[in-house]
Amino acid sequence: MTNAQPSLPLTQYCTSEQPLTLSAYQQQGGYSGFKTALEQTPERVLETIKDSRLRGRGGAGFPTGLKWSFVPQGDNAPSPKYLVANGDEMEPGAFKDRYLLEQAPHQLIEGMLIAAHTIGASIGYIFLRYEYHMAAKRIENALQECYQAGLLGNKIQGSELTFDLHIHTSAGRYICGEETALINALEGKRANPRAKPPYPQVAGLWGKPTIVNNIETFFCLPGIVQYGADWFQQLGRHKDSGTKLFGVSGRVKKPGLWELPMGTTIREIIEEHAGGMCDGYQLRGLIPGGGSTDFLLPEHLDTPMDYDEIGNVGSRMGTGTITVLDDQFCPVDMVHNLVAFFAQESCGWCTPCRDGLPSATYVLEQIETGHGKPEDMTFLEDIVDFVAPGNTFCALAPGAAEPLQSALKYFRDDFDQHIKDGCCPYQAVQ
Amino acid sequence: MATIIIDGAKHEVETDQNLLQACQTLGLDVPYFCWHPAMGSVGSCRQCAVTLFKDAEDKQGRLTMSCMTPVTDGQILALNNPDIIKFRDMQIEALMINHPHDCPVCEEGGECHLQDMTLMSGHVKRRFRGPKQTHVNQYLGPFIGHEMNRCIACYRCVRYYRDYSGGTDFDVFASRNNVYFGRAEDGDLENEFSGNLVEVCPTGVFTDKTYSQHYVRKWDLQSAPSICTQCSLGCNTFPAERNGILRRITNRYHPDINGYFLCDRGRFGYDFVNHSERLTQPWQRNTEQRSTDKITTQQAQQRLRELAKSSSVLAVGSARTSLENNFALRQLVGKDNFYADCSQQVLRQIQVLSQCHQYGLLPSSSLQTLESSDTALLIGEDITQTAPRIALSLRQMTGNAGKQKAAEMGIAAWQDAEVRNICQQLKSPLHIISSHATRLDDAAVNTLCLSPAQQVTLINEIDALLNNSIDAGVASRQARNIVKDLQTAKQPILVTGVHTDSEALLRATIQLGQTLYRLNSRTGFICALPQANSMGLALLTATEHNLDTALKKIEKSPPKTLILLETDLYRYCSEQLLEPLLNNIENIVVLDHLLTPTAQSADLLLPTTSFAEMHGSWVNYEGRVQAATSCFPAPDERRPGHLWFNAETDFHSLLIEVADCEAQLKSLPSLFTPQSEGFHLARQTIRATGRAAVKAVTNVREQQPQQDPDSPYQYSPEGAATLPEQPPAYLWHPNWNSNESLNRFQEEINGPIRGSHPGILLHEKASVVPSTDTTQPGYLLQDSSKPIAEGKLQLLADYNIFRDEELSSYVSAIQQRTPQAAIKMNLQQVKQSHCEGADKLKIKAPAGSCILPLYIDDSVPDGVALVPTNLLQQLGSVVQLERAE
Repeated sequence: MTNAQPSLPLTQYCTSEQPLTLSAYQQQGGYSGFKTALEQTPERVLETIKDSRLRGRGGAGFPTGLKWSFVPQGDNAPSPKYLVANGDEMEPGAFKDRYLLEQAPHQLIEGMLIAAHTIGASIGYIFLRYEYHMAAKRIENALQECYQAGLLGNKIQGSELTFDLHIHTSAGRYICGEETALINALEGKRANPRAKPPYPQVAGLWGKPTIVNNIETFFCLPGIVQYGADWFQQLGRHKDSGTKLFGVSGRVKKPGLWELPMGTTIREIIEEHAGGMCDGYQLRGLIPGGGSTDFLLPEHLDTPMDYDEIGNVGSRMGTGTITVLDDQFCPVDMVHNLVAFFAQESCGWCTPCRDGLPSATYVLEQIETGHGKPEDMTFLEDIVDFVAPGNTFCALAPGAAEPLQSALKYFRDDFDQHIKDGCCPYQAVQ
Repeated sequence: MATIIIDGAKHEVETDQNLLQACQTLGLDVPYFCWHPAMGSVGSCRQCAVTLFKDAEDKQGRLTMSCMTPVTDGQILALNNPDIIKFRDMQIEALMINHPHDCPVCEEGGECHLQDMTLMSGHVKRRFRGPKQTHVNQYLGPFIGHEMNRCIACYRCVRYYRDYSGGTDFDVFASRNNVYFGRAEDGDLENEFSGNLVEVCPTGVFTDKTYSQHYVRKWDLQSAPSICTQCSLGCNTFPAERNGILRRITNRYHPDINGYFLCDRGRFGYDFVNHSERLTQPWQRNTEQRSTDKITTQQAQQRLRELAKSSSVLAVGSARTSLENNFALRQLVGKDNFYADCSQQVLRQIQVLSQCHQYGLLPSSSLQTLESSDTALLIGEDITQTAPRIALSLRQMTGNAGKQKAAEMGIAAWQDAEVRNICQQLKSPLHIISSHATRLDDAAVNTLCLSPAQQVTLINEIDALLNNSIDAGVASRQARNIVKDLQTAKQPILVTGVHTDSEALLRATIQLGQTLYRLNSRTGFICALPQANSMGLALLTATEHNLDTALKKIEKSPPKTLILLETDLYRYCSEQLLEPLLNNIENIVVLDHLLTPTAQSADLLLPTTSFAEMHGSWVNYEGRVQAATSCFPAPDERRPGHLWFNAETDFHSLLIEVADCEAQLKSLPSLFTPQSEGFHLARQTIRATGRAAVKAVTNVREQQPQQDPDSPYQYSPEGAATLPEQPPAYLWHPNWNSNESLNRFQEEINGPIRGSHPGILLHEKASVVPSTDTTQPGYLLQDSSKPIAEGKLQLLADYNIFRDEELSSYVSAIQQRTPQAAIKMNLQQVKQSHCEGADKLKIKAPAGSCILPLYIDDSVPDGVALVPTNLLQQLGSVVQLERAE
């Protein structure tokens, strides 16, 4: 067991091809965060999480401690309470949770145990993306090890904590990443989002108090409990606490995934860690946090990857997995690809998303293939307004509109040229 | 109450509703699709957006879905800000992307909510030039047509079918803009309330197939406020006619009875009115010539008068026709000669029940009361089959626990999806005591399948437990479970019926009802009756004047003349029994709509009007007298029974005569307003077309509309669409052409239609304090029914919604849904009866015998077998079985 404070708490165990077995994980200090938590009252742990200023890593950045504090406590609180790990990672460009799950499933379980102790949950589900077969296998192994070692089940480690943890592999819909749609899917219903209130913290799975957190959020917990809120805060370089997995995909020299302090600038991530653009390609723009975030431009490279900072320049941190657009790839094509994905993944519940996104997809396709008309630009702008936040039932369609609206803003000339020339200029070049 | 500001004007509105409801009650136009007054809000269509301002300073405002926003005091909103107008326009544009725009050939055209909302939203120009998404349509049975391409995915159908009415064979499939609303595969929609899809669907995806058979546009229909006569509930309806053909039935909202929904028998079982064997003129049998001759109305009337004066007359009234017809017959032949067309057992049960209501020993509850109850015990009645609309209300009752739980979390009942998420499997308890598995079992916490004798024992046990007259220790677990729920209930209700033909069971149930009522004054009680006017007929008839005694009398001393009013005795009696009796009677007068087996034996046959062609009142199960207004003038020589019996007395004089003779019915005349000199109402719409052209093949002159002095309605488009004191003949309002226009006619959302009469309640809420004496402990814990002799079996009725009602059984659409007649029993019983492996059984009884296919149903208890209702009535309940080769 080591007491040295890790600088990379999320990936410290991710060193080998195979994930650590329970004993190896424990030998290297695993589950000591959970042990620390068990020694504390749930209120105390909750205070630590709040003090750490941990924000949900799923994309919205909601303060985790605050979310947990809405769960009814006390003798009259409904029971059982549920804890759900959201591993339905389907955001275009995101692959961070997969890495963590495949490499260190025990750290997820440890994080969930800490959360279960804190909120008083007795049943947990790991909701996993359908395609993550390897992760599923590894999590199953880890769960088995934990049950055998008495880390899951009744009276864990001789404490009062009872926690049963199950894995649920999704049937595969992007919308299951939305926590209330995820809950519906877990209940065996259509994966449509639910109206709020009531929030899941009060009435979620099977109508009982439920906390849904992202995989990476759970990965942050053992360190916070073990090393304290201050340690976690100091890990961040800017306002936000902790470290985060940042990724880069696109035409860069070394696409990949790195655990870096919160507040690392986009420039550092792309130029240092991803090795900069491939030779012969210029950076045209980027989406900082997955397919449902607004484009940023090279002028934004010095923005720190911090929830509020990214928000201030007109995009969202999202999953922190950057996709770069180079100067030889058609932005209309890229946007079309993204919007088509979201149209495909609409659950079909509310009109703007169900019927608005496919019509935008069609028009984008028309423009990209040279059949666009000048009035299509107005139509696209109208669709962006139409699916604005508040107009739709959940955040899927507003998310889908983010790359579209920013592309209309930043790459307007490209659209116009497609329409004017009656073909895609990039394809002509290629 | 809250004060809210809409477009600068202050309004006082109720707080337990959402902004959309509030706007509708105020008569303000806000377009919507997915919200439904009975099903609440889910926020899926996004059409009802309004601008909500934070405060008076806020000029920007926020786009908000009015259906999802509770009314709170001080809200400031705007209905028509430019951004809202733009948003609604985009909404319709999006909804219309895949819509086929086939209004000219769509049956919904002209009464389409989608058309209305499109116009209201101002969307006119299609910009999208891509291809339309298309779907394959399904065969959904004889009632409902399916045209999926018209769908705008408002989710109302699936919410209605699955969530509201408990259906399981209909769902939403697929996702994104490919969502599909239908069945997993082609086939009949199984739910007994599927027809409401036609009204729930805001456009033409689900259409009434029976209406399609003789379709006309809404504006060419002639309608009137009427009553469904297919069971004892008295649901309110709008029959609609054109050119002498009854085209369809739609729901007419009544807050205490049917609300927004009808059952499929009520909606689709009307076509007997248009039946090819409808009687059109009087016939007389000429025994000497061995012929049947057409005679004139005057001759027929004359003949009837003579026969009625003959030395001995016996008349049988009808539980399926109006009070007035029965009364006029009774006046014609005298009380002593007037009999009801129901068995002694049934008549006695109805009269005992009615007395209990009369003396305040037992409340008589409406469906609205049922829906607000929190625990229900359903005893001995397959209610889905006999009084279907009750089953739908019982299902809603089970949702109250969830609504209560949601309310504790600050979620209003209209927040439908949220309530369901909170409530999950939580149900207000519904206990069912039945003789077999029923269609409501999935909504119940428990279903006990017992023989009638065991049922009586259990009811007595429950009663004794409630009375503390037995020790809980000796009671059965089943009884204790039910008692626990009844005792903890704030508003329990008992639901039963007299159909079971087990008098002991109803008596035990009444006893239990009284006990519960004494313990809890909020107790409700509902007892379904066999037919639409069973209660009305029972009011006019002495207990000993029933079908059993009538038949005995005929057997002993055959009367010279037998008058049968709208009743087919062959439904109740076997041929073997009835034919010799009828053969002994010199003159049989039959008045009916159709050439029934009974009508075929008539010596004088008089054609009567159906419910749609006459004014009349019906008394429902709770003792509610309701008026049905004639929808169209009776063609040919059809006349209502009362005019055959007494042509001199007009309808209103007859009403006054009834009121004078029957103390309970003294306010009957107030149900009907005669034609006044001043304003009258139009049955036809102002846009009715081709009035003169319809009959131009025979007569090119403009036809004068037939007069109707007995009602405030005209058989023409002339006249007012509404009058303050009268219910409208049809629902139509500027901007609101569909049935959603109801909201413009209600006093408030979920309030009564303005001007409509709720009906006269004969059993006003108990004026007598519930009696406190505990009586009749004598038969406690005893099996009260007679033991069945060795080798014999007790038959029970296998009720079926699409088989049991006489008139609808002549309707082709209903016939297509009628199940094959069978005898149902459990496997053990089959073995005991030495019939194992038999496909068909011969049922032998003193009154006759028949052969039926055998159907194994293990929910049927030992010692009993189920057969179709009519067979049970014909054969009697104790029978022997043997294999049929």
